[in-house]
Amino acid sequence: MMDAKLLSIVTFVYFGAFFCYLLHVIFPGRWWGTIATWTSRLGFFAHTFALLIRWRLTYVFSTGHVPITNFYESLVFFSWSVCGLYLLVEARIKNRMLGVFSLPIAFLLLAYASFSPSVESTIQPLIPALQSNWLTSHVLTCFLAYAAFSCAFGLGLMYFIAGKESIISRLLPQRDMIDELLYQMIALGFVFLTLGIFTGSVWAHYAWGSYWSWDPKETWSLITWLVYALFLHGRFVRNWRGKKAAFLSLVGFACVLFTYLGVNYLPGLHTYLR
Amino acid sequence: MRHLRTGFIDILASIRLTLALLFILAVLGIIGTFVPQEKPDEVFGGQKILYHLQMYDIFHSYIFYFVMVMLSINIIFCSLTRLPQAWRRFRGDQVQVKFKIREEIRLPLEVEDIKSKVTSLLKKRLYKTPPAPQATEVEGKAGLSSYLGPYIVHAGVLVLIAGTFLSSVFGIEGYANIGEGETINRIETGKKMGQTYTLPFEIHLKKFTVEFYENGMPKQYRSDLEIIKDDRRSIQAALMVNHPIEVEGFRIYQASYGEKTGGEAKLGIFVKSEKVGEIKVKEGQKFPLPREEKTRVLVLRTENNLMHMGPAVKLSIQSDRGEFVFWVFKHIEKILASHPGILEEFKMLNPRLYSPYHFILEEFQSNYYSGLQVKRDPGALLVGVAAIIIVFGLVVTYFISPRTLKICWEKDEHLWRVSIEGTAARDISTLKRDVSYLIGKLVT
Repeated sequence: MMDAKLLSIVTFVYFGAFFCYLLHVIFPGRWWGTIATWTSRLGFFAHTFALLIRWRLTYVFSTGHVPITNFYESLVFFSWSVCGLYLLVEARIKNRMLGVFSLPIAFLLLAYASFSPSVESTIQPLIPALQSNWLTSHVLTCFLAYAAFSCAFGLGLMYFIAGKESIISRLLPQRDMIDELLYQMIALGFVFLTLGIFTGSVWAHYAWGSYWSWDPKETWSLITWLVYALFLHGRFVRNWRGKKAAFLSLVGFACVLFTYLGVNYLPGLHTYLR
Repeated sequence: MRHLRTGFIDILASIRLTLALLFILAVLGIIGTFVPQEKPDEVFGGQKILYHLQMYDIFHSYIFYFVMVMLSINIIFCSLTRLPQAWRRFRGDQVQVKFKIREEIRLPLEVEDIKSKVTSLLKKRLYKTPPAPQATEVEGKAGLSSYLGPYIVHAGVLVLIAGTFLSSVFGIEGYANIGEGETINRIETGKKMGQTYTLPFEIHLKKFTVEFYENGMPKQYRSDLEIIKDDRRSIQAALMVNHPIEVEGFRIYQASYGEKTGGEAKLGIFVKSEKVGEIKVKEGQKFPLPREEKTRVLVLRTENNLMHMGPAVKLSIQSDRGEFVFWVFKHIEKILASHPGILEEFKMLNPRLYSPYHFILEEFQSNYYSGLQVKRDPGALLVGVAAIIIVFGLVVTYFISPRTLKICWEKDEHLWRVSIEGTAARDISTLKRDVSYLIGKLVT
């Protein structure tokens, strides 16, 4: 398939971009940063194009649906969201440091999708439960939330590294700025996760006959939601900052990963991703 | 005594309690996904403790309900104690300052009427500008509604908890498997084994159809139902996955489907190309083979859709020559066309295995049943309303930034010195954009 081939190329582009971001850290002031940005933009553009091709292909091989309906497609879309959100943040804060943490996430997700033999990349038709208009809004909001939490995770790591006195820490942005951006990413992710849970509930109400069935994925999305709610309350009222906040962003991301991947090993209703 | 009471209220209104409750909820959730949520048939030793702690039905356990009640109380107390301050901030009586910006620009003296210019620019950025005490200053406030956001969210959470409470206490949920031509009015609620609920109407399954994709995955399945109400009036309805129907406050869902054993098949029996017999058979039936009276044919299995290749019947022929076991597919031609050579590879699939005989599955009466879920959920509407309130509240909280601007100006010798002071309560980026907009517009 053309889209899958293009995506495996994009994987290398993302790796290249990550490499350039690293060089940018080691040799600041040179043009590595600009190259890194444009490499990742190019990768993102090709990634978007591949998604569109795949979308088009679903009309050829199936009845036509947004290409976010199985594990492969979800990995590809996750990676796309991480890269897209990162590029937005970079443009906004005018600092490229987060690229060192975000691009490898986008790269790893896409590499897993493209090169793992256990991930099936063919276009599959939709089983009856997935034939719903809620599919798009549910998956879209959930993965935007995942992407925001991934960036927060990158920022959390950055915060800890910036704390150690070293050559790298001098290149990192101010810790206050990391802290503030981390908070904004989590707030954004939290709003999207809430939306994702609610759209999922509405869909479940129509498809499974119950807006909430304590299916492991539902339960874990709630756990993730609670962890980030904990973060936001701690910050809002008790002014949790710095290490505490950064630590919670790591815990939260572990929950995201378990919600996304871990629950596949538990029995439940969300079995499309297996 | 009074001291004790205020102490207690302080605890109920504390964020520390909120954090503890959120943490406990997360832990209960983790337990709920790792301890299987079905009651084991028998419990031994350590399992007994888990059983009495209701760990096998944790989301309907007393602990869970208790935490939810505590959370609701906590939300109410927190909101009541903090609302007055939030209200003062919302009204603009009290300004919260986290970030400050100060800029100064100079404008030529020809610029006239700075006041109305600044006021109209601020209004464009959605600032409210109360009349300032002095003629050479303007003050504006924006985004103060953001202060009410958390209270909207928490009101929504309370409505959500109330809705889920209604669902779990007054909701009815049951399942029924119904075959074609059957009529039912009882559903199994599954709360206890064999417990049923009688519906105020009858459900009659006229027809069940299932469509498959080429790879054998189900594409869509539907039940054509007739709902017969108490007054003997009936409604016709087509039920599909993702498209439930609603009858008298109950919702009926297409939950699953399955096959009953014992579909009826019509077999054609040929010797070379001459038809020597035709027989309707069911699973387990035995009949003599035409023209070979000693030989017996046993129908081992009947399948609606074997290996996604359509209906098939498994026969065992017991003759002097030994036992011959093979499948007879209805769509054998299609299978041969897509898998040439399959008969040589798998003898079990060859309907001519007992030569010179040759079997054809002429008709197959499928025997599907439709799995229906019937549900009455008085809390669902409330939960939906709560979801809208919560999302609205979150947007107000996080996407609106409370901020103030104060612009003063004074005459220098041959210039206006305009100072712009801004404060922001949560994030500075919106304020920064406002300031640069203001400067940009004033300077040109």
